[in-house]
Amino acid sequence: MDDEKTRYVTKPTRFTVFLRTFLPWQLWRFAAINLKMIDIIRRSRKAESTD
Amino acid sequence: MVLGAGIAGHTAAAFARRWLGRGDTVTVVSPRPDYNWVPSNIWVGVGLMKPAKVTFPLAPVYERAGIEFVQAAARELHPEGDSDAPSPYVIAESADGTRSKVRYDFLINATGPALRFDKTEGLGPDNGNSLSVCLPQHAAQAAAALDEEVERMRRGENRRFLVGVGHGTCTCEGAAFEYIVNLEFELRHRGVRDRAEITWITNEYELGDFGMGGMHLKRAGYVTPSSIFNASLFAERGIDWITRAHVHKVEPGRVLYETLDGAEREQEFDFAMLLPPFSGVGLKAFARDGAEITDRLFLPNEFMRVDADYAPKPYEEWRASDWPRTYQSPEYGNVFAAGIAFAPPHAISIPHKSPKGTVIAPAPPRTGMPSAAIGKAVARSIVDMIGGARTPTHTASMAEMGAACVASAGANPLTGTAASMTVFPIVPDYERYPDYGRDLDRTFGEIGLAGHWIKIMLHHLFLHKARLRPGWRLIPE
Repeated sequence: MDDEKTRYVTKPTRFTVFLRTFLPWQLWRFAAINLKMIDIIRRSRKAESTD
Repeated sequence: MVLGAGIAGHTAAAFARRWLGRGDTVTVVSPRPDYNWVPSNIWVGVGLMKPAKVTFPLAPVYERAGIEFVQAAARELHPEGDSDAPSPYVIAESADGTRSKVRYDFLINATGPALRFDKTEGLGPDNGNSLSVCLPQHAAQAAAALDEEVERMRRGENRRFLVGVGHGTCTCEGAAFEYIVNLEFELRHRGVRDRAEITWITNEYELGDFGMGGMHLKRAGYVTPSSIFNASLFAERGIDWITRAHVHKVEPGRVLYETLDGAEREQEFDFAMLLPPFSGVGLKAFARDGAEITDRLFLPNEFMRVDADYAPKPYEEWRASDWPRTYQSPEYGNVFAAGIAFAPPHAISIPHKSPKGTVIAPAPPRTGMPSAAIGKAVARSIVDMIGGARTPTHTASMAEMGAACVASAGANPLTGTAASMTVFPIVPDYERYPDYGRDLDRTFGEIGLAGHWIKIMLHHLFLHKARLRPGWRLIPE
């Protein structure tokens, strides 16, 4: 892969990569992401309005 | 009558059956005997699942639900009937070539896309030189080819993988993205990553566009475009990328492509998974006197005209209100389209052409959550119209609804990850959200193991729902 290309790309820190599979943190994120998605579903259902 | 048993058609048929009385019939006409939960084809394509895990036979499900099933491909619409009878019908052709008339009072066209491998010379797994994951059998072929590549790498060979889209007007970049990061994860898992050179090739202007014009996320005090996150993931995984590319020929071991600056380039590969462009399935329409009226019901790309604003206009004049709300045909009030079968008024991503005039820009995605929501809204409108309503009662505009998407980035219950994303609305509305077209409080994305758990959960929940098992209607679209 082109080093010049990747030199200017944002990369995650080791701590960020660690958190991605750190179970306690991911259990919390599982709940948080589900809540965000439920909010989107709820709002989209409002958009499926009765005219 | 529902044409097609994909996500939109199957959802529409199931809800229509639930809401209609016993005196009404719901008929599904579809050429394939099985339902396919398409999002999980990615896992079939890297060998983690067999096709049987992402499909099931439709006939017993429909029999249990009281839905009539005609296994045939719709060929012709006769929305005014014919000289014998004025009641509308569809000509359906079964696998043995037998053609039959299937009459309807209300029609939902949910025929999905035709996979147009023929648009690029040499593209596709059947008569070409590349692989696909669009169908379960395509994905199984890709998995078998991947196994062969892994064996070669174990013997010490270096191999080149090319994944992306096989034409300048493709959509579904998100599916190809899932495939490339799952592929990279699998090669690591199988211990041969150091022998693989992996390259992404896309028609997107920037990474992370996904046919939705990209998205902007609030993170660490900045509003950051999705291209940053996509490039970051690729750099982290050692995946190279080629953007703004129109693949116009796939030879054995080599793709030829044009870039937006007009340059002709090529890329060599040992394994290529390139998605095809889509069109409608090529339904023809005829008036009562037999005159062809296809152009009144369909656009030249064979997708169905609905209540959208199809007037050609420059990008600066595109509006969220151009997008359809009821999905009713402007020509026939008892004909609707749902899912990929409806014609979008225009793209979502900014259009681009090369100096040679080649369009190199993603088509808008209409998959998954919006397809099911549209199918359900159309079914509700039709049920209400059967009950006496004069016009469609329910809407499901992609410019008013959001979407949640989970893109697998590696399947393992402890070390896997997936990118979880939400956007609201799907089609940016710059009148309502002037800066970025979307509500930044409801547009987010992050990558982690939790996303993979959600992806697994959705796989099982949506297959449960599609099988119409107890409680299916409680699972949201």
